[in-house]
Amino acid sequence: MASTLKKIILKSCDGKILEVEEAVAVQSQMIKNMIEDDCANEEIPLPDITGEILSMIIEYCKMHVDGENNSNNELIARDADFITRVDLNTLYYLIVAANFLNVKSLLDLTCQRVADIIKGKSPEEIRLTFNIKNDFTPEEEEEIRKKNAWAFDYKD
Amino acid sequence: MNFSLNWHYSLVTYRFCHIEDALKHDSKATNEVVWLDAKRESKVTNMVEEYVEIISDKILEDELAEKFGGGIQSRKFGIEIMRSDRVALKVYSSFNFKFSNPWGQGSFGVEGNVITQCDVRGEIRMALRLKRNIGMHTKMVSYSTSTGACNYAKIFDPGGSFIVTTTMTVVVQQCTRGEFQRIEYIGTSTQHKKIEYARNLSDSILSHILSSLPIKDAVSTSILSTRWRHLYAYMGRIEQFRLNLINILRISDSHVCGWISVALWRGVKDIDLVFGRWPSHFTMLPTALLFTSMSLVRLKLGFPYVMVVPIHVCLPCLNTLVLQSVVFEDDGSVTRLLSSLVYFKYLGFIANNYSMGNMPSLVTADINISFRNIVREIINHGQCLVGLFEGLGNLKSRNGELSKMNTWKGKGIFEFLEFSPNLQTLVTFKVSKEVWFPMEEVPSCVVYQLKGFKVLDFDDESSLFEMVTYILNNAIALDKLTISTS
Repeated sequence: MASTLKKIILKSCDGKILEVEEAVAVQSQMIKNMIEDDCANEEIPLPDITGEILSMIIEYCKMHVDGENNSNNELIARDADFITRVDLNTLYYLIVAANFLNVKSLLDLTCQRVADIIKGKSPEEIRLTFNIKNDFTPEEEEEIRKKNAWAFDYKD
Repeated sequence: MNFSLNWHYSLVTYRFCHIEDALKHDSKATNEVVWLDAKRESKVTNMVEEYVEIISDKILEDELAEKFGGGIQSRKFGIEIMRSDRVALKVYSSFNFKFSNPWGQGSFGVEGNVITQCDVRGEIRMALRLKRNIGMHTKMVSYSTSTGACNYAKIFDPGGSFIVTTTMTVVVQQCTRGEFQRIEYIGTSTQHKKIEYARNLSDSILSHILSSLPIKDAVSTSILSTRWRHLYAYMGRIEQFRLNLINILRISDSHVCGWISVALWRGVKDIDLVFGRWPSHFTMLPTALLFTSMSLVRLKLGFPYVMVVPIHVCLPCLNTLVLQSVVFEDDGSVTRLLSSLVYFKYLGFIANNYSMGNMPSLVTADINISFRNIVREIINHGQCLVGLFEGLGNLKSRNGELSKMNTWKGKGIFEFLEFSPNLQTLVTFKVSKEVWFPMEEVPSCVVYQLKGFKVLDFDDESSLFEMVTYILNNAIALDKLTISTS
């Protein structure tokens, strides 16, 4: 059992140091691989992940480790609660971090959240929400609209 | 250069004046945006820095003061103009706010740092075209974060082209004492840094997102920008694929084959393939792919021809199979196809040269067999029927799971009961007069196992009455009998 109490030390890009139980840390496939390769004995520097985001991810992983015995519905409810508290900026950094750390369930959750935000929005609203610059010429835009007209048929 | 934005909730109004431009424009005008001109941009940078003038933070200040007491101690302003392929103007105004204790307990102070950021972006050509008078349409989106209530305001023109996005921030960041745990408020919005979210994410993440969208929404993202144009085509998974070609004639074989193959490549889990009696459809099923799918969970086949199942069948995840008038060519692969089924539904004519083999995990069977020519079929296919029941029955004896027989036409029902020693629930309707129940022979499941018996569409015409009598006379374990009429 000693190994489960082992602590992994993570260092965020802004210098924050967090100690995490191994059971929690291995939710990240990347860290799991590092542990297996015996590379996790010293602190693990995480470029591009701020302390704030890192602690959110750890909170999430903890939630999943502690909730292992809970029912599926309960976990889904907790996930929903976790993700709806997050604003778009944080969501963005969470995706980047979840992708880097390879926390699959969190990546699924965050991507699903983005999909929910996109759902039902017009292209203009999506561009506005995510700051996407429209670099089509009007002709190109028209061509795409024609090609997949069924997808642009907004009832409302 | 005159820049003025008036929020629809009138909280903050900024005006940046330059003497030169102030002469040209009435600087008191609100709801007016005078766009930066590319040529004058560097000049503008200088002049904005020189002549920035905050006219009114008054309402905001008043509201803060009313809520918390105290007032502004110091202010800072900053201007940032960025030039890439667009012009962005950011105006920062930060001020320290000294709060007095609203509950009158001593005199601790909370220092809040209020940052206001105004970010005006737009493409130059668009800006020039639209210049003033953009008929602002303002939308408020509210949400909350751990730092307090935020509002995020978007301004765009009714035509939908992108024009201005503006955000304002009021964040009370610090509390010096534990007593003051949360500062609630605030009328304006949170700091909202402009991140080009999509640009910085990899294609694989974006396609991950797209694959969580309904297909229509996913495809409509192709219009967002050149980067998104073909992204939807790389969507990871297809979950469900339904193809019904009955009554559809003019479709090219290669298309259909292509669709099915793509669905299978994309890890489809639930697939419906229903073909009509159209000769050309005969050859185009990619059987090698179909019967080796690692992802398929549910398969529905409607194939009115003899189906050749390849020698190598491997469907490790398949648990539901719905067969509709499917005739397989041989026995061996069918057995393999059925081995992991939990749910099995059979519709249509019974095929005459294969047995249904072994289904050790089966929980539910839903069998609806049609007969084209009753007399001949019973003679010809009697043996097959028994084979099918053997297949269904055997596994039940191992598992002892609940089994249900639905939409039963009645033929061979007695044989079925004989081969189903663990049947617990039986649902039946339309048992024809030709079906009879030998009083002296009672299958063991009827006596010891049958707990639920349900008759749908009860009428005098069929032999349902006899059947109910038979069951009631013999079923010791029966605890629920349901009879419904149409």
